[in-house]
Amino acid sequence: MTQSGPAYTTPPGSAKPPRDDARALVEHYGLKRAGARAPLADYTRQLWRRRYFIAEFSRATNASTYSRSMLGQAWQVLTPLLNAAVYYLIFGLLLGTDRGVHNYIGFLVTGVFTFQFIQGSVNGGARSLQTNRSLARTLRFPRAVFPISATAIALEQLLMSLVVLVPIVLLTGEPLRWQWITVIPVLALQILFCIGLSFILARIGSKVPDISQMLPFALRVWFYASGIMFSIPSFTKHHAEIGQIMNANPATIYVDLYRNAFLASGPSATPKQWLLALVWGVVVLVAGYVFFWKAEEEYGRD
Amino acid sequence: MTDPVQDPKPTVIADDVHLTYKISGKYAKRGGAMALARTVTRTSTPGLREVHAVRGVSFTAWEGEAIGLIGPNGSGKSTLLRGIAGLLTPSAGAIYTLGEPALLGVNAALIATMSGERNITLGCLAMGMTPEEIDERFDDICEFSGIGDFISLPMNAYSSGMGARLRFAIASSKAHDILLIDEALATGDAEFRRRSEERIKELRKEAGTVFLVSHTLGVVRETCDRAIWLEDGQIVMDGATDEVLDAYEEKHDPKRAARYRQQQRAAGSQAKPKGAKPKAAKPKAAKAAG
Repeated sequence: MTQSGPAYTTPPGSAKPPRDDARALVEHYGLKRAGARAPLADYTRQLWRRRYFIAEFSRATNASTYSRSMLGQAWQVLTPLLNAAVYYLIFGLLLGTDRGVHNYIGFLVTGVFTFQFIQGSVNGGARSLQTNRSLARTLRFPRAVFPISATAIALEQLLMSLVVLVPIVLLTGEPLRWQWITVIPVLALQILFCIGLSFILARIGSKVPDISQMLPFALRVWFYASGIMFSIPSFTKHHAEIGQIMNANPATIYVDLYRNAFLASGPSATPKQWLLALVWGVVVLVAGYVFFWKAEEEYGRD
Repeated sequence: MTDPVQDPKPTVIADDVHLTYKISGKYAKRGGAMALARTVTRTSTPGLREVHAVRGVSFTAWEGEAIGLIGPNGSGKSTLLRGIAGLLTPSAGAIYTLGEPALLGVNAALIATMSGERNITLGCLAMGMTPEEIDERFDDICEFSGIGDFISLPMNAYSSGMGARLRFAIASSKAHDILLIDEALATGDAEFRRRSEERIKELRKEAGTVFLVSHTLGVVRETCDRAIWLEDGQIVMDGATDEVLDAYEEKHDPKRAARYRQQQRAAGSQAKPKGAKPKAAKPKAAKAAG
């Protein structure tokens, strides 16, 4: 509106309406505020339209992560294997936390691999908006794409780990049973839970980047509290309440359901565990999605 | 004077817009212990400054218009584009748009470690195309970008000109309601510039509005029928391209302006002094009246 000098005035043909006029035009033609957050239903529809983008973006990111290493994507299999070997060495052989477990290797490896899916989603989600900043500043699409693809990347890792897991479980003497099919519903519920977590951490991580420095500690505590390398019932015999709290922990529930599917020697899953797995999955996903969507307008701005 | 079959619609309305962004400078005192001490004593982070880049800008853009944003460096042109694209929220005032704006910036990296081909697929998917639509247009995009065999190399192997061409090819492969171009044509060679000017004209025919930020006034003269001159985040002048650009040159490059006037005079004494393209101003005058 302001002119810097009297020599430069706005010519009459410039179609610049006064303020009231602008309001009237906006209403008459139904213009929308630039960058406004879409209502939840529309947002979900836009997100659904980007499903191919999520798939392609996750695949591409995954490939480029390993593009500089000599062994390439073989690390997706090697990393979980090495991890399991280290935990076996320390907890199975040195510390002897294997008491009360029949097939300790199978027990440990199932726990480590499936917990890593949660870990990957949490870490990836927290960083997703930071690492994809330049893309987010260029194109407009629902930002929920980023946390979802963080989970998708972690999921690909999990699927690779399962390829390693199956022969290990069979080699340690577990029979092939019908219960193996229950891996599919467990995986589905765990995916819901992980996407929800990824949403929550993505929003927090976009506001407080320091969270990615804190997460390794939080995740380690969670790892030890989820009975990944020891059997919770045998270790909390004298502290029933602690055992109960640890058993209600969603990570414990998902890990136990996987173990129930793969290991014949372990305790079988209760209906209560299935119900809890469902509730945790749905509640965390819905709460996380809404929580993430609420701040949609703030992502990628500075 | 004209009787349009259909009323032109406003596509972008900026209503007294102020845009600010924060930048964090270098920390005055480095070191983990110092930083921790600052956190504990709650001293504000040093070096975080606010830049008030756009101060009270109002205009209305109509469908079918191509608008050039001109002004010296730091006058708020790129910030304004980001505001229109919805990537920055105004601190005061509001920007309204009809349809989805798409921003095409010169630094807009897709994913640098990935090949051009993969970036085409990703870019198109991100713009909401389906895989079938991409299959249809993939070859067109490759050809239009004209980067040949480089298409299979990662984008960080590209020259800045090639990157800009590929990005422009991707962004312009889809009809956008509002296309915002930020210096993207500056790095291309003459041949590419000519083709992109044609492409911009096509996009405008599809009832889109194009905003173009450029320091090359020639490009603005060629492609835009309206120009907005920004300085210090405020509009100095808004009108027909030739009028605005002449005034702009008069202020920032008087010698060149004089040369240009002479050329015009030499070119034809029957043409009006400012009449390089008298047609350009017409459609807007009609819109202003209607």
